[in-house]
Parts: sequence; C-alpha cells; structure tokens
Amino acid sequence: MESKTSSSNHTAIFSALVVLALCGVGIFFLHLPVVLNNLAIFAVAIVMAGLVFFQYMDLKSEGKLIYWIMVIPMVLFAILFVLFIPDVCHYSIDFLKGL
Amino acid sequence: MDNSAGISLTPVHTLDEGPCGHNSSPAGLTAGRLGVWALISSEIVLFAGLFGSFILMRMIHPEWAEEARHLNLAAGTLNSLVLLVSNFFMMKASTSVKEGQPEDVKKFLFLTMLMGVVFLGIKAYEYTNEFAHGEFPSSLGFWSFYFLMTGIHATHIIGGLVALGILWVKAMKGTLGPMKGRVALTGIYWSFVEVVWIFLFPMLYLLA
Repeated sequence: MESKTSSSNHTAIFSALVVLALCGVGIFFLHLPVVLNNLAIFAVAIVMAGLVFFQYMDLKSEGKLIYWIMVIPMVLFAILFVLFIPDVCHYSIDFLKGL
Repeated sequence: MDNSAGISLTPVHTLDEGPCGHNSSPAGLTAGRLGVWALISSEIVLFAGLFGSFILMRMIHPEWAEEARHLNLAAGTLNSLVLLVSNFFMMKASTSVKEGQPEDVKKFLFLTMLMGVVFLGIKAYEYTNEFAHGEFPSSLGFWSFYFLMTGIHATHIIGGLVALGILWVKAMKGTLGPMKGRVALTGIYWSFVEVVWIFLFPMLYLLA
C-alpha cells in the first residue's frame, strides 16, 4: 500500500517536473524584460530542484545530520559568491545601470 | 572478532542495511547514505562555484547572450526531458526494490541507463555541431564555461552509468540481494545529477 502511494507520488512529481521544464522554456519565448525573464526561469529551476531534493532524494525524511552536512557547502558557496561581488560591481557598472 | 585492545572490528553500520539504506543507528544513517550525502555536499561546492562564477562573468559580459543563441535549444530541452524520464525510471527501480520485484528492478535499471546513454548521445550531437561551427573551448569565455560545465556534468552521468551498470549486472545474475540498498543510494546520486542539469540548462540556454 505504501509502495503504491510512493509510486503514484513519483508519477505526480514526474508530471509536475515535465510541466515545469516546459514552462521554463515557454518563459524564454515570451521575450520578457531581461531581469523578469531571468528571475522567472531561475524561480522555475528552484521549484524543480526542490521537488527533486525533497521528493525523489527523500530529503524530507532525512535526519538533521544531513541538513548540517549540506550547510557547509552552502556557507562556502556564499563566501565565494560574496568575494566576487566587488569585482563584478567594478567591471559591470554599465550593465547594472542598464537594469 | 575483537583485537587485543578489546575493540570490536565488526562493522556496526554497513552500506546495505534495509532496502532504502536506512537503519536504526543513533544517527539514523547508514555509512552508505552518509557517504552519498557527503559526496553530494562536496559536489555542491564544485558546481556552485562554477555556477556562481558563470553568473558573475555573464553579468560582466552581456554580449555572451548572443553566443548562447548559437546553442541548440531543442536539443537542450530534449535532454532535460530525457534526464527527467531517466530519473523517473530510477525512482521506479528503487520502489521495485522495496516491493521485492526483481524483474522490475532489472527493467527499470536498464531503462535508466538507456536514457542516460541517450542524454550523452544528444550531448555528443550538440558538441559535434558546435565544433563544426567553429565553437571550441578556446573560442570565447562563454564557450569555455559551456564546455567545462557540460563536460563535468557529462562525466558525472558516465560515473552514474558505471554504478548503474554494476547494479544491473548484479540484478541480472540474481546477486543483487546483499547490495539492494545501493539502488536507493545510486538513485540519490542520479537525482543530484538531474538537479545539476535543472540549473545548468536555463543558465546556458535560457538566460536573456
């Protein structure tokens, strides 16, 4: 019974992922303003990744230890990203003005 | 099996406790499950670094949007769908292990691998076209990032295919039993490879 529920759940998640993937491509063809287009496609990607992480990879049923393991790379990534920002601001000032 | 210091050398947590890799250890994790998540966290550092660098460089070079128009969007979209289907089959294989259906395990592992191979085939087709149009890793920064990121992702697909191949051969020989927990572990890895593509595809093909 549990396996059947799990199986139908996987099918529902798969269908949602396919629809979202096609939505992402659809957004590209709407020719929205640059910022809106980029935010929308990343929003779709984040929702898709969340579905895969929590449903397929079963992160929702993992213990707290896994979350702590995942915090370390996130912190490292945040540090890396923040360190790049001064350079980007320096070189892309014209681009940022255009926004 | 104790040594002279009285410390037991018998492993407390093995890779394959239970069909899903779960056990009742104090941490609630098997060694295998912990290992896969540790691997994934290290992979996140690798890919997040690449993605972060690409996004920032892309902001500096808005002209890269024109280069991205040379990518084959249809092939990229098709590859996204192929990987989604592949991951779906992987989940079906994991479920089949839980349900104790060896024939379905064999079938779904094979289909997962087949979709992985199709993904690589489409990627190879894309690479061939790009090389034919004179786009090489040395052509421009965009192409360096494109070939590096998709190449590393493809390498992960190949690694996953090797793991799946081993499991499939074991399943065909009927010797998967002691290793069945590894199907779920491979499923976690395969799903992560999909997550990477979920971000890679819009970044390379769809950013305006």
